[in-house]
Amino acid sequence: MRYWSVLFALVSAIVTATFVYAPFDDDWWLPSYRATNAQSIDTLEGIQAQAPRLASSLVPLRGLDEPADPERLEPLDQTRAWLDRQSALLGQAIQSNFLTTRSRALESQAARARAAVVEARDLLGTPEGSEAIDRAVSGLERFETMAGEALSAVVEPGGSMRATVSTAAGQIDHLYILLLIITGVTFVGVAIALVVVLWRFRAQPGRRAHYSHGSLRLEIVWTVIPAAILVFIALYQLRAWADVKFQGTWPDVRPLAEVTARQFQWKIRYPGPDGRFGTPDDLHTVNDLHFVKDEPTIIHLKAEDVIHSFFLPQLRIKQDAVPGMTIPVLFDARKAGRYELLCAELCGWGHYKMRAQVVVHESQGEFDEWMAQSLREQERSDPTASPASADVAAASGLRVE
Amino acid sequence: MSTDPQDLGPTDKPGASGAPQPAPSSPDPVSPGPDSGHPPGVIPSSGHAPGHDEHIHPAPRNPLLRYVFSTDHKIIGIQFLFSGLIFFVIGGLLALAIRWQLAWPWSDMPHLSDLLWSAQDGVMPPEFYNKLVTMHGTIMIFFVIIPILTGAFGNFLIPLMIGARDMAFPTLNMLSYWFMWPAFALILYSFAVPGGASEAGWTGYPPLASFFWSTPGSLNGQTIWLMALLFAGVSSLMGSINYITTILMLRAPGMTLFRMPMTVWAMFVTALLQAFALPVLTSALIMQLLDRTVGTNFFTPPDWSVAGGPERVGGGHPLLWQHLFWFYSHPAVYVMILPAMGIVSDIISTFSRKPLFGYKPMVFAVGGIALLGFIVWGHHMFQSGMNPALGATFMLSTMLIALPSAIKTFNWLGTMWGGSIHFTSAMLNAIAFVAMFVIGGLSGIFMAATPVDIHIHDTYFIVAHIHYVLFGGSTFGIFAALYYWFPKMFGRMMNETLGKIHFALSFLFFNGTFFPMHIVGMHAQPRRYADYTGYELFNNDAIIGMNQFMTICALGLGVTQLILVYNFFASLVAGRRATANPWYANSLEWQTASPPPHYNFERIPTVYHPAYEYSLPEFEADYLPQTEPRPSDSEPLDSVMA
Repeated sequence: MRYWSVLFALVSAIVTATFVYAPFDDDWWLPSYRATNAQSIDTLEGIQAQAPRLASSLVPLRGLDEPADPERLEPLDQTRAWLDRQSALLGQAIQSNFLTTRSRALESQAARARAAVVEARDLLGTPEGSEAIDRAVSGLERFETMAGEALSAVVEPGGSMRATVSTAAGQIDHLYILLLIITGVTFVGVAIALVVVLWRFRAQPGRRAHYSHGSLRLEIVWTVIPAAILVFIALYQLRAWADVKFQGTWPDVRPLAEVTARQFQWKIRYPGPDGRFGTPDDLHTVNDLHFVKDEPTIIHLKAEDVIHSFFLPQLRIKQDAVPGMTIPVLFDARKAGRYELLCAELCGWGHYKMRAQVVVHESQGEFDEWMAQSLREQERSDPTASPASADVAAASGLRVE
Repeated sequence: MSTDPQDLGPTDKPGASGAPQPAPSSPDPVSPGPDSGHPPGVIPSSGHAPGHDEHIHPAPRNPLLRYVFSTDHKIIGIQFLFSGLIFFVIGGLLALAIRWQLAWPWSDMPHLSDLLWSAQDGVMPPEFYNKLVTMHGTIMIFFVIIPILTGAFGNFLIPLMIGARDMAFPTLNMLSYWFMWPAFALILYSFAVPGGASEAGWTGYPPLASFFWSTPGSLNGQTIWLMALLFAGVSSLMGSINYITTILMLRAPGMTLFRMPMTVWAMFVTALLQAFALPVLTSALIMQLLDRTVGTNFFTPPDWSVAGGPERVGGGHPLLWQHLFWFYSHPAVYVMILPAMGIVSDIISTFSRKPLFGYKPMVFAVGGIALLGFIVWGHHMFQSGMNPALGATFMLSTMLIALPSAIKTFNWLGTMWGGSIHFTSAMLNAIAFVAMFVIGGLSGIFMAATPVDIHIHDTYFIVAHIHYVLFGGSTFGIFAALYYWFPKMFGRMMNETLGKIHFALSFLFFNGTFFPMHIVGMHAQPRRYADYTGYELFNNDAIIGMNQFMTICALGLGVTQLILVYNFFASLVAGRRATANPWYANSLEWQTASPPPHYNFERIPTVYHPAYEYSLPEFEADYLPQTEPRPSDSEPLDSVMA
């Protein structure tokens, strides 16, 4: 009989432990920046960790005044191979639009360092050998420094990846954690009370239940206290809701783009260099949303067929796209990099694969460069700028295995 | 065929002659109720003049009228129970198919894949997943939880608990059951029409639902879905009118409103909710049906076409459907939880051998939930494009509705505190209801907080919440009710050992299935995704691993229910014979035989006090049936609490 209270205690404890553990795991907690940028960050961290080691392995080669035997050339060959690998990884980062300016610079620095290494290998044993090694070492050091700079642009000191990446996320996560604490304390309190009750008041021979119909004082206590807490929560959150959704609180910025959801893709139209929609220089993209870091960004959200929902989990933004309505959505991102855009409202058989990539550029210049490049591609492919062919390509490319 | 006691001949009056006797198999020393009339100070609340109590119909001899087209509320209740449990199995199997796909996307389901999708190499098409989620939700809500709680237990218990011979409108009652049959047939048939069953979600949002070419399930399945829901809705409406009338008009002498058990109160408020909210759903269903069939445009924006289909003139608005649908479906959430709350209150009091803590506050809490339940529907639409200022007001009312739920929880704990708790299967399930409802209630605060809802709306966090309320709450409530009233329904006891094993495994597997949904939901895994692994956010060992863990627990949960099925049927034929009052409970249904005779009571009982007089210090027995007066020297009942 008494073991039933143990069952309830056990389940309550596991349930509580789950939420206590969650903040310590990126894959459990609210979606973070790392989720979609892990590979590129790993590349940068790899560079930061490996470059000094390789540089120091080259230092003993200085002052060598005769051609070295192949064994002693080993560090140079290793460095070269490593730099080749980093170039390939950085190529992937550029391909995925991760900090494109920095990644490109890193890639060319890798190429420069590789050239220096190759030159040093050739010159080893000659009088210029030491200088060539110095150049290779400083190339590696510069490579490391640049990687470090790129990392510090997206990773907080201390390496926490759970920091929020948008204004909305800051407010929402704060509220979420507050609610987690309030409900967590309530749950633990109720669970303990329940387990104690089940343990202490299990039927035992010779003991009678207490004859009581309740207590007005207790009823008042457990009405007024929860009511106060609930009203507090209700009032406390209004600010965040207003900041995210009320247009009156928004900064006065021109809309970045018009996002039209359709089965099963996101059609995005940028006004182009002239800043006006409906002109020939509009840029049409499919499943590809770009904006600039730290800039409050507004899009106009529309639907072309059924209801969809514009969901940026890492930026904590969600807004349904409703047929017949144009709904402005405000968001921003504090870190440049890649994010995912999901459809969160059931929209048909392909709902699950209605994914778009979101690229946050580090500077307006980088964004403008992407815009110019994309416009050139658009001109090249079809002057009438029909997005239809791109639709087909995107739809077939998105098929999830 | 009316069983109205008033138009009866003087024949067939069981127990009409001679002195009043206690119920035949009652083991306890029940003193016979007063012969006629009422104890001093008790106002007869029944609509009948006292002398009419004796007129009763015999049970029909024709088995077709007795067991199939029966007007007996007990038979109808049992019919609702069986149909509901059959659909519970169907809905559960759909859920397992959903879980299978989420754990091992696009992999073969054992045996099923080859059978159903041999043309596609045994791979389930993605639209079928949408059918699974749509039909699982629809069936569980409209064909399992509502029919079992209100149809089965409401029907069976209301007349017995208020001391009536039957419902006020027995024929309407019979019709309310048989109106479910077209719904049953249609919802199953919809799988077989071209395009298959509906895929617009159990919420059926247009234009996805109203345009034929938007998705295969909208071709024909959606029309059938709408018709099935219409029949189910009309059935519920008939039931609720009957319940309201019965509770108001047919209470036994002395059964004042504040002497009714919580179950009856909950059924009463539920029926009010249904009666006021269902007409709105019915209109909405008809509007969508017209949009689909005769070309009206209630929910179609101007000049609209979907998926290259023909353009419609439009002029309506998709959000109108959401308002109408949730105006019903939010109260429907309380339709699905309030009866379970009432049931659990009675069971906890009985097995704690202690009066219900704060009976009247509990009643007012139920009433408060019902009133507030009508002004919170907008919280389903925070991200819908509705004016965000309106969202702020709905947020406030939603926060407030958490309050009566909190009060109820504390009162249940207060009831058990100081009690003498008997851990029967029914009690364990009732305690599980309280424990799980706490989780479901607390997680509701997250989505009531509008900014947090921005993130968790339409994710698995919501799925976790609804399942903690509807499985952890309502379904454990149904289990509790089944174990508790099975002896009364069928005259035999269920096996307690099997019941406890079933409970323990259900409780563990339930939490294993649904608790991790909070975590993956917090991590933004969207609901209704056939495959989440195409996203970098979710394609990691933790999310996939948790989904597999949930599926394994769900399979365990499914298999565990076989214990209940076995226990149910084995007890039905070979269970120990039940006495009239096996739990030594106070309410009226236990003061008559198990199962009750056709006419429910030998004599209409007279009621002296609320149903919660347990462990009176003046008595050796720890219970005092409602049919027996409290000792004259005992303190009067607290007018605020009891």
